[in-house]
Amino acid sequence: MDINQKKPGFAQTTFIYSAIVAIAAFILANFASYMIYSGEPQGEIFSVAQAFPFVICLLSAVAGVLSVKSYVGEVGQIKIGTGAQIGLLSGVSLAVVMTVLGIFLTVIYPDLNIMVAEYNIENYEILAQKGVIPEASLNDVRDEFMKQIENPLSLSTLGLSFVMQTVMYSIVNLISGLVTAKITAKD
Amino acid sequence: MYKLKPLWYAGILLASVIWLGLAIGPGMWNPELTLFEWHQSGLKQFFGYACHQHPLRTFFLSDHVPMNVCSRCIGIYGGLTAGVGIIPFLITFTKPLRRFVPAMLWVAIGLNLASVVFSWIDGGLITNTIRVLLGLLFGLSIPLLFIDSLTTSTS
Repeated sequence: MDINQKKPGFAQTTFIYSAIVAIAAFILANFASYMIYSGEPQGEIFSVAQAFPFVICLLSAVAGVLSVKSYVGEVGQIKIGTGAQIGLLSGVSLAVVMTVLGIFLTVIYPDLNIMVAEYNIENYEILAQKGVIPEASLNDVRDEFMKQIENPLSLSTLGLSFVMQTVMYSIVNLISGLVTAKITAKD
Repeated sequence: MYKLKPLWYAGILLASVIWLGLAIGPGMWNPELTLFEWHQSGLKQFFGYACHQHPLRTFFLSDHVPMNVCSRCIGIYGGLTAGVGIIPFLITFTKPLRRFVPAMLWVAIGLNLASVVFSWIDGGLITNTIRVLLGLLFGLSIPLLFIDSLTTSTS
């Protein structure tokens, strides 16, 4: 197909690939989270659980790659700007699907949220005992996590997390989409 | 003869410099910050979506404030910014060399993956300096891949 010819839209393909990647990453991360948070905290400022968002983000980059590859397979060749658009759309789709899945999980299994909050409070208490964080800050930490337990679906928590995810996944997928479009163009 | 697209170039350069600054984090502008305050900060949480932020694999500023991202990520962002920065000096005389850039990208990805595997096998084998250099190689190869897209032919 000629590069300037009218081409089919990429929104549907992009959303499907992003949704598949989002569901896979969400299941993997939440299963791993459950394994960590059902154990005992060790009183460390860094826990393995903190690496999960990073693993999700790394996996999310695959959505941009798959969507661009699939669209290139459909239409032949694309401009790198289209790769960037597909990447951006992948990032936004991922954030939307992840947020919806997160809300769904909180509604059907609210205990997970309580488990995470209790684990974190205990972890901070051990950190305070070790002198890594000031004892005075413990009340703030408890208040913050109690708020999270009482209202896990508050608009501010959800909104902030959604904005952060949208920006980060969009940038990561913008780059993965651009690079894939560029490399497939070379092929 | 090739010429840069000035608006695109300036926008991308500015965005990459700002991003690098945010990734280095509050240790640059607030050295009095405690480790706990850093841990609770919004920027730390934001970059936590893209980086594991392991303290042992992260450079510290002012001895106690970690950067917002690990050594490999700071290398990647530094490489991206440096790569965008040197594009004006590369556009005229590197045309024959540009075909090697995709290979450079794949080598960088391969070396980074290998270093992750070696880190699992032996934690002390791969130092933060090696990580930052490998990140730099990967980051540098991305803007170089797009030199053609940021330039217009004037001949």
